[in-house]
Amino acid sequence: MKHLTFCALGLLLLCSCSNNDNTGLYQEIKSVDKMVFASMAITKTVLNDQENLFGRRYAAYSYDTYMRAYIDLSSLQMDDLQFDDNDKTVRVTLPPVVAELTGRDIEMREVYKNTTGLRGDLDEKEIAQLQEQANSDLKKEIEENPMFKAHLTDVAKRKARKYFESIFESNGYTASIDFKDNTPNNDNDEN
Amino acid sequence: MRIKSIILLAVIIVAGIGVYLFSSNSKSNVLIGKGQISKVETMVQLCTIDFLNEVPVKDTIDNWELFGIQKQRGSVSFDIENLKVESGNDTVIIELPAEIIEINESTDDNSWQPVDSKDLRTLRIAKAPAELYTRLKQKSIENSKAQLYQNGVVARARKEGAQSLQALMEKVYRKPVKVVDPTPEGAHCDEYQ
Repeated sequence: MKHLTFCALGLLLLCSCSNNDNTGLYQEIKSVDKMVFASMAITKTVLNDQENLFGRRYAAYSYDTYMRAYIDLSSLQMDDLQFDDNDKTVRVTLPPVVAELTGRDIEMREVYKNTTGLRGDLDEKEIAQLQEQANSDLKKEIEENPMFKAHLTDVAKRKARKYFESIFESNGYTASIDFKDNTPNNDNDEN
Repeated sequence: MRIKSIILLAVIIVAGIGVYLFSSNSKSNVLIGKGQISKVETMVQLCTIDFLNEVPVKDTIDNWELFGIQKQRGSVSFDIENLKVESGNDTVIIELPAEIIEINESTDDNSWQPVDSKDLRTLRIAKAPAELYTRLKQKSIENSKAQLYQNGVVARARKEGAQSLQALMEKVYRKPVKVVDPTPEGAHCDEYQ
């Protein structure tokens, strides 16, 4: 039923106009106050092997999914910066570093293809289904394996320390940087 | 003669059922490899707008009319690692840098649904080559970027970026900070008009 609706919608739009149009079906724009310190690409590879009376088709695709690590600046309070003007030091407690998914490549890169007999190449719908399977698998993997987020947030913390130490140093202060704990309420991971 | 026709028809039907059963009994395996970290980058970027778009994408490419529905996830950010800062006695003046717009396909479920394609040479609905859909999606991303400028989203991101940067730097410098914006409508606005 869903497919029929999409096909009907598709036919209607194809017949009605051939100009490039990008009117949104749904749009959500939100203001945020994120300071991003690191990003990471995770490559996923999918192999598809199909065989029947008419031949065999074997194809491998890969694509990247992106994550980033940030702190929410809106939760940084004046109390989180403790200046000591005599010693020229400052103790900074930054908000927790949060990791989130930011999207994936628009293209499934064809790594390998072998088609025999009367079989044709995989079409776009089949490739999209493969990517959907890989996407679900990756989200589960990120959920179950803390290594991905831990690696990214560690890199982000190092960068954040370096950055804040540098800007306070240019202002004549020696900074020591800490981070607040990452409680479940602060975990906005898109999974 | 009539019996022969009936027998022939029966043979064709049985053969057809056989071929159908044999072909439908195909082996299909999908193997999904484990995710591998392929790149890690560091940066200092201030992100002021996050967005999620679900757009119908349609276009004519190489005599094919293509149509699909895509969910895009993106953000508008500013590289604040190397800011232009002028520190006076009373006020610190900072210039807001150019915006960075990133748009990817979302990782939400069903973020890409190729719906239909038509071959304009034969005027038939047919399966278009996969690479044409990639070009379709690339054009759609560019269209979405242009819309961010036209709808004033980039201008809003810059305004909020200036406010946020001012608030952060006032905490750091402990004196008034003024953030000046040389291109309030967007540093790359002209490219997308």
